[in-house]
Amino acid sequence: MITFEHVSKKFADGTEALKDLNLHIEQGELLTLIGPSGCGKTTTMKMINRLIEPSGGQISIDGKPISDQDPVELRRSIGYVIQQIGLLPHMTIAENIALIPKLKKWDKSKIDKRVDEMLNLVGLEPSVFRSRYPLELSGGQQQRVGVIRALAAEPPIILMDEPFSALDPISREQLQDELVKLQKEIQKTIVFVTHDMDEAMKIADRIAIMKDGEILQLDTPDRLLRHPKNEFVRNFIGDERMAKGQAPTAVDLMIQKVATVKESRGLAEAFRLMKSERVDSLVVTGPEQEYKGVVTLDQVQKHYESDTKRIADVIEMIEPIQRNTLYPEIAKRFAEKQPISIPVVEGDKLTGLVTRSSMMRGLAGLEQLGYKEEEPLNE
Amino acid sequence: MNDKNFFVLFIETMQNRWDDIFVALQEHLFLSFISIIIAILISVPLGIFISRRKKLAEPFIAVAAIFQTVPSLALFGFLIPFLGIGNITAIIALTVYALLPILRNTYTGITSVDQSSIEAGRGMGMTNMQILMKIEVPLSLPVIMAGVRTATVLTIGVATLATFVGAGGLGDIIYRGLTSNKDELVLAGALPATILALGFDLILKLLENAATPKGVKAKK
Amino acid sequence: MKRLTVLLLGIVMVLAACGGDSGSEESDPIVISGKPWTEQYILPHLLAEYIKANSDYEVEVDAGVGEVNILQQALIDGDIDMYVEYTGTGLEAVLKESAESDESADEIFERVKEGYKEEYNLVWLEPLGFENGYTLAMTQETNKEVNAETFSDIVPASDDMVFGGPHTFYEREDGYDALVEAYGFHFKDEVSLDPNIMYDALNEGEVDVIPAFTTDGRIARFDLVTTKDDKQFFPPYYAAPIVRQEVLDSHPDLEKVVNEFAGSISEEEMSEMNAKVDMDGEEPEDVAVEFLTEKGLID
Repeated sequence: MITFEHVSKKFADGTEALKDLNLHIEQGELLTLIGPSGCGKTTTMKMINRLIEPSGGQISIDGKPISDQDPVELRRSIGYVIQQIGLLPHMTIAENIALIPKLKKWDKSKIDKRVDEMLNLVGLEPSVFRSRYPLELSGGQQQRVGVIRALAAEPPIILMDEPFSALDPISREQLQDELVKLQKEIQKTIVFVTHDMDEAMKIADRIAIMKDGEILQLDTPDRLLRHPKNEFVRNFIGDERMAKGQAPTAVDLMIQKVATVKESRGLAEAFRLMKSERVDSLVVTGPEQEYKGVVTLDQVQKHYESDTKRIADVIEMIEPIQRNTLYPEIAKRFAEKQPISIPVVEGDKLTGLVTRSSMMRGLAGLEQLGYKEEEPLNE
Repeated sequence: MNDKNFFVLFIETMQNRWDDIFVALQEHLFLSFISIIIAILISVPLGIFISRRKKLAEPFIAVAAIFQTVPSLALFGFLIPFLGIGNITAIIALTVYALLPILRNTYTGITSVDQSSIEAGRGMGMTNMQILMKIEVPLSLPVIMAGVRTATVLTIGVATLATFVGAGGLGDIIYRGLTSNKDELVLAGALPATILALGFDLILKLLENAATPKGVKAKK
Repeated sequence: MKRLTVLLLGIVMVLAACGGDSGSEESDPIVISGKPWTEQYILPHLLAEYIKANSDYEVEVDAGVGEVNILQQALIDGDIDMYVEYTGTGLEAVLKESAESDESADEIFERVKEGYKEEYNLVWLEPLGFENGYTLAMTQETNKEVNAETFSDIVPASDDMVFGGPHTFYEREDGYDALVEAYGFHFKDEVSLDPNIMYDALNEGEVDVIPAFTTDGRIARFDLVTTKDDKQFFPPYYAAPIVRQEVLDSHPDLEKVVNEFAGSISEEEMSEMNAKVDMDGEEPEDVAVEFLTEKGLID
């Protein structure tokens, strides 16, 4: 569908943005371009709609070199979504969506129908949103409009330049999901620039990892994880992710600041600590932070009378999980054994604690709080 | 100086000299209007042009700013040897004065339009003209209008000096009053000029509000 | 055009001066002032240079301050001490009287002198020699059509003519309205012109007829046609210095010295001096010194 042949780009200031780039983008695939800033990913994308002209080589769409085509006409057949959204603030949502169909001189009834269809596609009720202005919408709503504006004129190709990176985490997550769902229906050729590996893994059919104006590896997310071509790719993808694939792991779901106690301490000490930290269990650790077990409020209260007893006497063993344990496994543990929380270890050292609420936060893509801010664990 | 109460004297002057004042008022409006319109016709396109070539912006705005720092009376006087006496000289001097606020505001307005709107427009396949007319001009119109307002109030004030190049206007009345030591006549010329300036300020302020796109006024 | 600026500055200064109370002390220099046009820029310097050369008094020139009403007020307030006025202007604009048709220039001078003394305690010294009257002036070209020798000859053609005059001319008792009434003019339009550009405006055809001073150098240089005031609407005007009585009291020799200068300037000489300033761009002060030196009045 889109072919780059020996494409290079040298900017006027002498920086070499692209070196002899060869790339073939298939019809109907969602290809993400990813890499550190300055790697040439945005330059590559902007060459497709001729916002940037190559210094050498050729880009063709369906075999036709784009350099032969009128840039304005070319752009009208390619959807374009940018990070800053760029809705026109003086136009209503309907007018924004209708912009390109209007430029293409569709007739009015067809445009109106299309606008409603598009709004419905992303769950924005047309009767409410048609006449609103962009600044009256939330960021997530605005970018939904940004996406359907790009889709409105039914372009076969859509370019998306970090479209979700300025959104809040929840909206970002939602829009990613919607895009995946949408892509199943519309089957467009989408070129998606991002710097967020999670995002790329989640949405892409293929990922092109770029560095210094070159594509280091172009593969499916799965193959990238299994067979990183070199050290840079491995580091870029991240060690954690290599073992787990796409599901979140214990690391994503745990809190790191855990209320701990040494096994040699007395029960009164444990009780005081639980009260001051407002928790109803403590993780017991050895001198080197090695995991020993858990002591619960129930047990402490039960044995509180005998002042000879130490923590070591009331300790319970909850089998810890490793940092790279996947979410389904963790969920299963919570379901089967109903623990208050599950400690996370690296070797035998305690590194964190998964609670039910930290798991929820992790799944929602929210930042983990310290244990002090955690809600009480008694559910 | 005068036995009569100044206020009574002023009212009498307004009544007795109304014909003169009215003629002067018309001349004043004529001079101001023509000058503002010419200034708009020059400054708005020029402002758009220099917003495209930012290297030129500074020198152009600097020149317009220098024009405005020339004492207005001196500017009128300076033009006489080249252009002679009369309306044309006055209109050129007034236009030169009105250039800066409109030019500067047009430039500021256009360049401060959110770049993401323009990038989106270009990326979607709008031509340069469409970007200008559908995005840049509507979004910078309030700023441009504010420049026109400043220029108009300024011009109505400076137009009182047109009398020194024989172009009439309310300056005739004021200067007649000054040279004959009739304070009431000075006021009879100055007051309409002030009311005119304030009136236009108000009208243009309303226009400026009307020019602000609804979506931009919306709650953020 | 520098003069335009000076003029406005002068107005501002006088307005400012009117506000505050003032009174000159005996030790202060004698301030000689004038109106904001050519002849009146030269006259203060003539007086000043002459007084300086023939007495020990300190003299200061503050030229171009304003028209008659402003200078009159400035004299009364003591902001200035002396300036040259025309008898006709004094009579009509200040004393609000008018000349009788058979009254001679000398008679008018006497009347004005008495009136000023009585009403304002201001003293008219002896006339400087030249008479300065108004004439209605046109270009040769205009006059080909109008063909006028007298003011009355202009009346039939006035329908198609634009009259241009100094702002103050329209406000004076002996100014535009009275002139129009006396002769029955009905000019197409009337334009207010700064005296300094009035001749340019006439020459450029912006206006067709102007009230010109008979001593104005530009009449000869621009080859303008002058007409005769056949109804003697403008009384014959002598030009003479007016001075405050207090200044004469505190400077006992002043009156004698200035009166020695009386009668020294002919109409031709005044006209030539005006031309040098207006047409040749010489400084009024230089022209004054040059004249006085040539006449042997100063060293």
